[in-house]
Amino acid sequence: MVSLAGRLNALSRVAVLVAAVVCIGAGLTSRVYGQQPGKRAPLVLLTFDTEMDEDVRAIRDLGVDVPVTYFITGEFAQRNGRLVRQLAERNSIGSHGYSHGNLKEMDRDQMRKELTLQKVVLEREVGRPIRWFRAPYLEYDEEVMRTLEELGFEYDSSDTERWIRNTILTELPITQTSSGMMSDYDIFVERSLSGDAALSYLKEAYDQRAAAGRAFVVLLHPRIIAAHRQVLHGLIEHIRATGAEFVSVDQYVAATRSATPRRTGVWIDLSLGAHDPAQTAADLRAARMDEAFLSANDPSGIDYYGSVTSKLGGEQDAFGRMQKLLKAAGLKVHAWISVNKNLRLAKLRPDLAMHKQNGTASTAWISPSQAEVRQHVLRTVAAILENYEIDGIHLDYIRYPSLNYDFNPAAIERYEAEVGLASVSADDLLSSRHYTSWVDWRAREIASLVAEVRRLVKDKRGEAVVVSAALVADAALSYRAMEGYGQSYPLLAGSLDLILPMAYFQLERKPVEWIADVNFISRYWTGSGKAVLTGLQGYQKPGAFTLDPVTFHRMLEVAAPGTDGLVFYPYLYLFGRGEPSHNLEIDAARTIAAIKTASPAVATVAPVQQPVPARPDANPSAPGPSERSSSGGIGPWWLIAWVVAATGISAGAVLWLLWSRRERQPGLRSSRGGGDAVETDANGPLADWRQLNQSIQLGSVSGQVCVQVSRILRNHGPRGIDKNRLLYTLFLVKRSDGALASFLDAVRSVPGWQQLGLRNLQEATMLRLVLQEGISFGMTPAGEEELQRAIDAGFDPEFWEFVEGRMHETLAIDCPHCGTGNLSNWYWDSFECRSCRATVALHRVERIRCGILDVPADAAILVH
Amino acid sequence: MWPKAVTVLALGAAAVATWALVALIERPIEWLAIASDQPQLPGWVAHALTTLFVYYAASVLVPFFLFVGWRTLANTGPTAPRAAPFVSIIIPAFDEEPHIANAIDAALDQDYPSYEVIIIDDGSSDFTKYVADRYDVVRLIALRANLGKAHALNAGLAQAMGSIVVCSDSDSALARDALKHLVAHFADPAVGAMAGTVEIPDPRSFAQRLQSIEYIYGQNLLKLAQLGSGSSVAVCPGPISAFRRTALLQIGGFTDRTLTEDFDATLELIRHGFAVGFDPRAVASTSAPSTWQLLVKQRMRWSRGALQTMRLYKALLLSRTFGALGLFWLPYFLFIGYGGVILDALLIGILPLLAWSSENAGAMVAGGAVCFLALELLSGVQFATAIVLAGRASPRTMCDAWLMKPFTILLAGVRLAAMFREFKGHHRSW
Repeated sequence: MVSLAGRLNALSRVAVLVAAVVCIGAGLTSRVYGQQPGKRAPLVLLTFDTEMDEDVRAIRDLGVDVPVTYFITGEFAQRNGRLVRQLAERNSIGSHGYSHGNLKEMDRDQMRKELTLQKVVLEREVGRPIRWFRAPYLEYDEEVMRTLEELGFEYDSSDTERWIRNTILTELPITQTSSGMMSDYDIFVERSLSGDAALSYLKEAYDQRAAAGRAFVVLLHPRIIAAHRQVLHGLIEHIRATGAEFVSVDQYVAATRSATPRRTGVWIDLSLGAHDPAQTAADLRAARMDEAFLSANDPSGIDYYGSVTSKLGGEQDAFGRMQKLLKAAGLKVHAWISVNKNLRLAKLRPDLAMHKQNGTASTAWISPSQAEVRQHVLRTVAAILENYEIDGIHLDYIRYPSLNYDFNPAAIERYEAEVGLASVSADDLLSSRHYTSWVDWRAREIASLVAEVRRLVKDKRGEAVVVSAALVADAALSYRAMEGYGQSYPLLAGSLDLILPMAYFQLERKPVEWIADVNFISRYWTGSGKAVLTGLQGYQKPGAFTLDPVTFHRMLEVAAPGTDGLVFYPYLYLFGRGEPSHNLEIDAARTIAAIKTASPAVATVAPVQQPVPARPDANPSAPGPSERSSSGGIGPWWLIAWVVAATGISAGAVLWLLWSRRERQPGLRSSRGGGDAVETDANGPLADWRQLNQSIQLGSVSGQVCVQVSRILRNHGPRGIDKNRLLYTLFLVKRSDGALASFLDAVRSVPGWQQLGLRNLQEATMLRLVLQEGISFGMTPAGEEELQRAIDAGFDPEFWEFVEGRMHETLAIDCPHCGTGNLSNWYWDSFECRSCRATVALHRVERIRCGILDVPADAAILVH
Repeated sequence: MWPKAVTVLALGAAAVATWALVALIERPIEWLAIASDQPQLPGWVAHALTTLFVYYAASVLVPFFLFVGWRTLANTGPTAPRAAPFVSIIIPAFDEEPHIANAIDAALDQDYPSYEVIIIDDGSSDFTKYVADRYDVVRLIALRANLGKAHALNAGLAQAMGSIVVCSDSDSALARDALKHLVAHFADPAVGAMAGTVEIPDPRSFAQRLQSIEYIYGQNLLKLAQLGSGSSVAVCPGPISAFRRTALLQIGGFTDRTLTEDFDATLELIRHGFAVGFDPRAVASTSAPSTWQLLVKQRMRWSRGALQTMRLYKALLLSRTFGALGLFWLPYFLFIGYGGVILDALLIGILPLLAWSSENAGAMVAGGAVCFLALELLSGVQFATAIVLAGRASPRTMCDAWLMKPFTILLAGVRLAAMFREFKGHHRSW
């Protein structure tokens, strides 16, 4: 228990520390960078969850005189119809369920019934469609949201700012700062703050939001806040004093959606293929575009600009030439640089790369925690500012690829320093112990890098140069994506003048209406003082998605309300000047020029079919959008796989060729199937064995002799040898004259006959050629006859002794090719050298040593 | 022929190449790990995946380079017999009517002066016996009941007169010089048995083609490497193996206590101190299973038999007395050959699971495909190397070499099933 308590204590200490740092950090950023010229006052939304009968009185007692929002349960509306109708006159009404039961705990049918009922009841009482919802206890699941969507709800306000997860209805989260959620239940019931403390808590949170120009959404319950009436009035007074505006949710939507795209722009991605600067400038002028985001480097680290100063201003400087022409055409040119994704640097300096949890370095992403990486980014920005008259710095890839990054030692060190722990193991960081503080720290780490860039830009060029960034839309819509990418819109907004959420709906496999959600939530995060330019897809991807002219216009229609501008990716495909399969089939100049003139009526511009000029020189495997999902790195691996395959196959082919050449040389291949008798003599008459025997007795013979002996032995073949052996056995039986002992002696004197003699005797006995019964042993008449017939036919026992002797004699032959000594036997007229593997015919050998008696194979002594 | 320095250099190069290849493989794994960057996949899973892949690749590559190195050291010994002792060829046959004549013809056509051919009809229900009986030079032993191969071999052994016994199969054909090459080695009294090369002469079906490559790899590379490592070879294959008759009698002949009597007998001989050699020149052609069903059945028998045998001879495992065989080869067969199967199953099982559980299923599948492609390339290069070393390169074998990975995965499945059955059966028998 003690250790548990200790751990909790430590945890809370960490939490307090983190909270403090967050406060200071947020305060600093808002103070230093939050002051925007021409900033509009923030919008304040007071929302009342109304479900109990005490609330009737509380609402009357409170006497709130600003537009607010009531989320009302169906039951309450049924019982207090008059009050609800009264409230609906000035305020927005949303639904809060029917019975205020926990929707997550209901079964499906009950939940559906509950949601249907509340909508019907409320709409009957209020007399207009109910589009807003807030879940009782803020508890819901996907099924609930789907049902609400089916029922015609459009907006929800059940998430808190830090934990947005609803992606089905458009979400307006409840404000939550590092110190807590803006909820009277939290303040008075859970934390039991006093009135003064509660007021200063709310005021502080509001100030923080107001400084950023962001909306302030407070969750209240009439019956709770009525007990602390002075707090609410104090807050309202404070807010009024700052000039902010109180709005209901419907007014908020109207205000948010009122923005129209006054600016249009395009990303010019020089890595997609050849760009003609003059034509580009002409195209953009024709389209009446304002902003050009021109790639100063590309994510693969091949710098069109960057630190390679030798390229500046020269023929190679594609960026410089394009920038001058665009500028001359009246566009604002932003130098578009990739921050955390830099393949070249990551490969060059793996120590600067982001690390995965298992410690391996990324090959694409560089760690924002490394001082050198920050210097590199800042140096790049500084060089751009010095060398070009640009209007903005546009940052891309300011994020982590996923939660699996960044575990670079420098990152862990910096995190340790911040949480004040001595050594944090990388394996622990995603555990519940560190998770929240770790992901929050990551987001701040990214934000601080952007803040440094901003400071540099403003120091050098002041307000003349704006800082903008392309952000992942999902990071705004879901806290999971925010945590994964470490890309926090509110933290980044402080350092940015322009925010460009990339709403590539087809790439993200979302319906086109999703873009409206991206606009809505981006505005919530960035506040009223910043310009939000929605990034739109200006290309199609064969095999993945096609963006036909009708869909394109629908996209413009959805994207236009609630954004300050539309920016398309990429120029090349949007204007049909890239790879035909990627190009859009629209009259880009006309369509885009029309956006600003007739902003809300974009849809009236008819899609125009226009022949697309073919561009054979364009890069056929052009990459897609500027920001791709982390799985986009398949290219290199296929390349490696193919290189390996090609190497393997060509190595195989070369080996094979070598081998087939080798095969033509004699004897190098292991012999398969009868490999004997190469180049033997013709079938001449057999030599006289007695003459041969004489030369053999000398202990050394010529190869010719060996071949002749071999021919004699082979003349009989295995069957002939068997037969002659039987005859020879009969001969021995006859010679031993009835004495078994002398027969056995005779057998032993024949090499290799110890067993053969007995076997042949047995066979002769079975054939009734020899009689062996008790002590009697001798030839039968049939045996006598058989032997006599054989001798008459030419069987010569002496010759057979010669044959048996040769069968068990070893020849020693030196290989004529390599000189290695080999052993063989008379039976074979060729041999394969054990060293050089050549098959040698014996008649080619001059001298062969013979007469070496082979030791019986069974003998248990070693012979060398 | 190979200077020692060359061998040392080759082994060094092998180590470097292994390291480089493993490093190369790690790249797709890294890629896979990126794909698995989902919040619900904790870091340790990615970590475990990477480790698994690296170990897998290493367990394939390190032995491979070792084998190629050892193969260069292999000395296949004498090429011709010093004498021509009487040899008995024993061919047990059970219901082999279509093949037995072929086997007998090949046995009778040996380039060897004095030998006998003994056919044991193991109680066949077809005309095997009568086909064999038509050869009057062949000794036919007809058993009345089918008692199994070990019994048939023992019956033949009891009748064999030769000091060397060559065992073959009724569905195999000995090459003409097989006897000559096998007998040559028995001049060394330490040799108790010899293994020859089994070939699939004319692979017709796809299954046979892949098997023929597997045989080439297993014999021309693995067995030669065993020789090169100074060890006895571990198995005298049924289709062609030669035994010193006295050695075989000393171990009591063959037994049917395992499903693979050849493996059992070989290890028993080794345990009795005999050396077991291998001559790649002694060749027997066998008719391998032509359909997948038959193949799976055969491999199930082999795998179970091998496991049973290794359990019997666990004393040899990691025993220094038996040199490289005990210290390397048997552990390799058991832990990599059979243990590696579990790794295989893990790899193949995990990927669909990850793809299924991952939000980014497409990327996981693609990552898995890249990994498998890498492993496939490794396997292809290995088999292609073995084929080239064996001098059997032809367009067809070189193409088939690249199909060996799926084939070995199939065999791994069979091994896994065999292991399962064996362990289950083992416990039940207790």
